Amino acid sequence: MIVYIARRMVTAVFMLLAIAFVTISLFFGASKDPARAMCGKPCPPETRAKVSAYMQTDQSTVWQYAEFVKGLFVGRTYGEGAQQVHCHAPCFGYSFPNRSDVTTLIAERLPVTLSLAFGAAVLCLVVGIGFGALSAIRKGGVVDRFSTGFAMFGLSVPTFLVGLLVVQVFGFMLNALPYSGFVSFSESPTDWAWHLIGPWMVLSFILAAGYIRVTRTQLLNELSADHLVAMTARGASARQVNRHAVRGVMVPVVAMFALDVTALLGGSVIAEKVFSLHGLGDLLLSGVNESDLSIVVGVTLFSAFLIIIGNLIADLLMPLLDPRIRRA
Amino acid sequence: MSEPILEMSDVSKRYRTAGGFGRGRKGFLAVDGVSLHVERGEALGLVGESGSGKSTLARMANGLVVPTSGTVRTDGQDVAGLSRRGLRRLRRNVAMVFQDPLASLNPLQTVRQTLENVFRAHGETTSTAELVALLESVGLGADYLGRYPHEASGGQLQRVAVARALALKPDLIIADEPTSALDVSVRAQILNLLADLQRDQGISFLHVSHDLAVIRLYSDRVAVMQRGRIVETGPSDEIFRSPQHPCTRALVEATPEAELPA
Repeated sequence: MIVYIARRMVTAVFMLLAIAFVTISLFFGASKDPARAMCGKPCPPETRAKVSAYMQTDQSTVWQYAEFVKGLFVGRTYGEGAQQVHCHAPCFGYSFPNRSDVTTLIAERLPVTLSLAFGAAVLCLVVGIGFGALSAIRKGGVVDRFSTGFAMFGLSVPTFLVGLLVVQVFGFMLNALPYSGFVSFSESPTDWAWHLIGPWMVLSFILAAGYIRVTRTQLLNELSADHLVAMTARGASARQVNRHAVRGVMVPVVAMFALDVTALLGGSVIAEKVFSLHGLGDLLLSGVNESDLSIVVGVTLFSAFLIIIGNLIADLLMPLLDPRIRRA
Repeated sequence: MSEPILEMSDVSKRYRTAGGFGRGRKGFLAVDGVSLHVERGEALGLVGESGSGKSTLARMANGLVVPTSGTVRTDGQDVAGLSRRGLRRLRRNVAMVFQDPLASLNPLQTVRQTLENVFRAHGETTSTAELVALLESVGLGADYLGRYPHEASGGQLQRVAVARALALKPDLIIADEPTSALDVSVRAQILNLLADLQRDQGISFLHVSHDLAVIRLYSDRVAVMQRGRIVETGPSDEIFRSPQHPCTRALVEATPEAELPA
């Protein structure tokens, strides 16, 4: 088991290095010059070259990559003399527009994204499993029709539309919810939740659709499964049979959840934009807009890292839930 | 003679069909006015081609299927009149073995858990020694207790399914095509096991199969079903020697072993 985890972690490291390389290559492949944004107007070529040299973006992509990897272990120093800035190891890059290293920027934005992810995850599990189970139990009933339609809608409607609708209806028309801003949990838990209800609703609406469908299908399968009929035939009560059915449903739900949560933790660009929340998604977007390579690479790597960890957790949990996966 | 362990009189089952075309809005009559009985200690074979209503009929014996009309008396009780709790008590005494052992055993549970569930379902506790004895009675070693269904073969799993049926000592076992999902080589082993149980423990059997050769060797009497009705009943050898109904004749002819001298 420990060997397995260790091997997975080593693979993860290589994967992250590859992702970093692809991100850096893509960024320069798009012929964006970070120095252009930093050099101001007017920007004579010699100033631009100086800025570029200072930001170390005048080198080849491979050199950039090598420097980035080196920075992870020993840190990185830009410029010299009065203009010198140092980025401590592990250095994920330095954002010149923000005058801050990327690690700090991510750490600053993380609470927002964490809050968003946490609430959306809880809400989508409750709604998704709840409605999925109810519609499987009363197949073809009112709840089933409603939630199947709801799921279809949630799967097909884009986030920004739901987001804007929620802002419009609850924020502006009903004046029931704040439509932007963030209050930290430590400041005021009630205000924190109050400001996040809107984004939670939007994200969980989109996510819950998948859980409704998976739970419903899986539970329907389980309820008609031979082994549960066999339990009933041997005198087990409905409650005992249902307990076994639930365990069968858990397997795909946990797998899905591990991936969804980690994707949420990487930041949700659209929901954050719609509700003016300054989380990781927003950070990434600003990085792209300002041609800030360090931010793009840093946030991408952070998200990728979370997704890899999420996968690993899911892979480790699966055998506990489903013995057929063990020793495979 | 004491009361039969199973007595069905004039039972019918009509399934509602979806959509309303095909067989018409009346639904599909799977079982049509069937009467049969199984004496205590007897093995009754129920044969018929697929779709003839055998399984539906068998499942009415323990209340898994509720008949549209007619009465089913199992173990001296009117099944239709039983409460939920009464049904569970009945199923303690009337066990069932299904066709596909891999499907009928919970893939997420070890053999031990599967067997323990039977005891738990009836508020009983059990010991490892008891479970081992149970496994031994179906010819499996104690090492099977810790195995999951995917770690055993079809024949071994069907033995586990028989062990599950045997837990808490039932009087009647309904075996619904217990060997048709198995390899030919292990078929005879399972059938011999069932026959031994009937002989040694006096357990009655309702043995459903589409294979007359199987039924002939392992049943005292045979009932032949066709399109929801019983078309012929009688002692096994007799049915085999001189089948009266065309359907029975067709089944006998379709059985390669039938050509061997009895």
